[in-house]
Amino acid sequence: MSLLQTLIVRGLSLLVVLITVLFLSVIVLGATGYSDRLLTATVSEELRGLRQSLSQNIRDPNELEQVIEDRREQLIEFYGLDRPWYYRLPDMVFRILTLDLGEARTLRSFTGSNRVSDIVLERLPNTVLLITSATIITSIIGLYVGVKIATQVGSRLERSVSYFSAISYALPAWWLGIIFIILFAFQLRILPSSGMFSVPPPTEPFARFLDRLVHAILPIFTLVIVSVGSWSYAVRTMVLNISQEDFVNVARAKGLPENLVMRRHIIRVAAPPIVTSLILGLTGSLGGAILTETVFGWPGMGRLYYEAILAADESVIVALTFMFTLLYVIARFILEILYVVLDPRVRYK
Amino acid sequence: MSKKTNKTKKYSLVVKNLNVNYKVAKGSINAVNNVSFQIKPGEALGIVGESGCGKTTIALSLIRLLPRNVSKLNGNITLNDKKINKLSDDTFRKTIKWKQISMVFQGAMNSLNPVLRIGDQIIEPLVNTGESKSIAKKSALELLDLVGLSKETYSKYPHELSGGMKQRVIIAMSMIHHPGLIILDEPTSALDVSVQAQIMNLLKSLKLQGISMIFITHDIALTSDLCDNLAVMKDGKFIEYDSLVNVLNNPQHNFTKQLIQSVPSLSVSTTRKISSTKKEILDFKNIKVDFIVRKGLLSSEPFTAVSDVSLKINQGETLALVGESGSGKTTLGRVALNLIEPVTGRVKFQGSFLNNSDDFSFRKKAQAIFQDPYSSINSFMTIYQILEEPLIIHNIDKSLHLEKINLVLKDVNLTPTKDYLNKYPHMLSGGQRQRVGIARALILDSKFIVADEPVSMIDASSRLEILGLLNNLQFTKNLSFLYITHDIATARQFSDRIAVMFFGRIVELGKSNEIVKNPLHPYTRSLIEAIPTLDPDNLSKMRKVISRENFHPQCTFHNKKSNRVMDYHLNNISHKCRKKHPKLNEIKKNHFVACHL
Repeated sequence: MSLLQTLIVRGLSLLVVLITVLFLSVIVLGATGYSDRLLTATVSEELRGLRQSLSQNIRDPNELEQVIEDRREQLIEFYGLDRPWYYRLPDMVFRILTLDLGEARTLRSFTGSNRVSDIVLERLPNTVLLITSATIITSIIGLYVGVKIATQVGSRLERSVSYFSAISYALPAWWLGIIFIILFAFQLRILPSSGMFSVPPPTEPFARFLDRLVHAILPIFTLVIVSVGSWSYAVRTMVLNISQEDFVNVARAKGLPENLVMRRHIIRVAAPPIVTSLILGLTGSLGGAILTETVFGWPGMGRLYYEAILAADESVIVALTFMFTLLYVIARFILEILYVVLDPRVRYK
Repeated sequence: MSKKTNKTKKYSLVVKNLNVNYKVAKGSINAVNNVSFQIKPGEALGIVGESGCGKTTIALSLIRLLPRNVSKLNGNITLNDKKINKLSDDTFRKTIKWKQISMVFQGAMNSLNPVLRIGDQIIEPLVNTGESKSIAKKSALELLDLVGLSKETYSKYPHELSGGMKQRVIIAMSMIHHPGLIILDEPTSALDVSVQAQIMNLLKSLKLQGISMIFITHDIALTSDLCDNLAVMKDGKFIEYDSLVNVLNNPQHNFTKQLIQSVPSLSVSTTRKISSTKKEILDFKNIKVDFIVRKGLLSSEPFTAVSDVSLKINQGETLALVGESGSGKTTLGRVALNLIEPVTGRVKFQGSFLNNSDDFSFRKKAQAIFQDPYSSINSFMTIYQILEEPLIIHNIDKSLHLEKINLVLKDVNLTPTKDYLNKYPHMLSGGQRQRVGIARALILDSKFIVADEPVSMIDASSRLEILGLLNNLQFTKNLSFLYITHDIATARQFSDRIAVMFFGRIVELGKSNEIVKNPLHPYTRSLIEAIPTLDPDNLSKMRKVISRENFHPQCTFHNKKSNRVMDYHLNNISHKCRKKHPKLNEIKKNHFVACHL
């Protein structure tokens, strides 16, 4: 009962986070006048096209101006430019909350649809594939290395890992990505430089899978390198903290073999904070994906963000902000559930 | 019970010329220096010494848990005629650790893994040796019963248990292999006196089953409850090692004599210089303090920490507030310092009501001495900086700072003062740190000081010094103290009057000697009975413990459901105690008690 209650309360508070982020991004768009300028520009763009096509048929300049003026008023009403942004934008928020993401102004999906949901859903799996595999690889390596160096503090391995972790933390992902492209794609010519498929893509399913894998190696490798160092160091610190606790000494006194002490009395106790930083790191790397995907021409949500900003496509920007927040909130909720499972102390509060 | 007795093996231990050195930054430290002792089957050896004397190192070397920086370890350890120090680490782990020698560690709070169930932690060593889980569970339940815990404890988590219950779990855990020798490292420190008495009784009953024990403690008074032989340790050496009776009756070494004298005794009369006047400095009137406890979704309910307390402290007087953890004594101390606002009631200080508006000038007049000298002073500041800070805050002329600091350091006997000014706290001992804490409380010439357990974390030998120092300062500077403590014996030595607190209420109030000699409330009586005394006769008898049986069957306190929550609602007995809390009544002159009986 109380467990369910706890989860409901946490779920509700995350929903509040979701709505707040949406409203904030909309207020930023509206209050800075960015939204108005975007729409005005769109209206003028459409009218310029209209003037050109109409000027073939309507000779009288006054009539032409009249028609265009009528059209302008229609468009202004259509985009809601006749009202201030704080009347126009809340509608958009509520529309997006019901998962009706609306229509993109200029961007199109690969199949040609202008519906934002089509565009985003097409890109979502690509990003998830990239981020998830990078995170899984990072966490496995990080856990292994972190635990290993925690047991041999002061050794040469431990010191070299701490140097590496500082360097890897300081490296920008996009810079490393460019270096890798130069090295592996242009110098060694063993890996493709960008994109998700060869052109033309192979038809046989297994070959298609291999093709995608080869294209994913460099972006995943880049993401792993920039995060694995700090992650192993974080694991090392958490494991070291726990291994100084009294109950670890008790476990040793009980005559348990060292690997059992490590597994059950150190890693198991360190699991809640480790899982927390893992999941928060995963959501944090969504932001990093924008740069990595752009560098590698990876058609994911990060690259879409970049394209939408360049094309000034307001509804795609807002929809993507919503999607990123949604992914974050879902990850946080999974974290809450995992935490309750892992740490009995938060269960009965 | 008889079955368990049969399982217990009879163990003897002989340790010859044990030496342990630690490698440190500057050379090495001789932590244990040529220590030899023996324990006959079923006997208990007490090792008494101050922190850092090497007593825990002996324990760790017996069970092979020494830290990595050991540079030298030699000597012979013979368990049942078998030299166990020559065994390989793996053999030692598989045959000796926990199976023949087990250990109860200091600090019940941290000795259990917070994310595993109690039962799993108890049976873990047994399951690890290949025993089936169901058989292991059966013997774990027997052990829980033996240490006085319910069956439900098996599937609970550590955070659901109180400190005393955790210590019982740890004792049960140490018995799972039915070892012949148990090393007890300060098994009762950090527990309330009443819980301490219960744990000591439990250990006595285990000893009666024939288990040999090593009992390590800083509190010599506890050894007479359990030990046949006693070793006094100082700087890595046994400076005294004989039977308990001989050590207590005929101590050879000055340090031993000092330790024995430092045990607060209730029979010796106290010599306090009394300077108290009739003018009151602090006046509590009907104080009630609630804390909000979150319950469920959005609701919360108040937990009453202090209810209906009225007290007066006179100028130059020490009032001791005695009670166990959770009794509300520290909360009341914080009310006196204007750190917590009471829900109802008013506090008058020097004749005017405390309020938040003149907090700044009040801070100059009232100060605090805290329990833990290790965390109550900032370790990144020098002693000079620590003592100067209050002067800066209260805008004292800068030219006077050094003079004032020198004076106050002299007052607390940290002389020559120039040796201390530029030192950092980590360069001082616990007693010296606490003197710095006292100096900080005195530097603004405050007249009223709340001393919250000022000596409970200090080694026994410096306790009396610190209390004597406070006593002298009180006399020379006409200070008033609110002395908060769990220890009614030191309260008697240091205070003029004692107020006994129980579940947020004052249950007895009177002159210190009168309260100790002539306690009227059943709770006060049981607190006095729980004080450990140094007497070889203690070996043969169980200690009296505070339990509901100490109270009259019709008393509110009798029907306490747990240690924490007083149950007002079980109203099946019609008695005035159930309907209304007893008021403090003056039974004799200046002796008040809150009991209808």
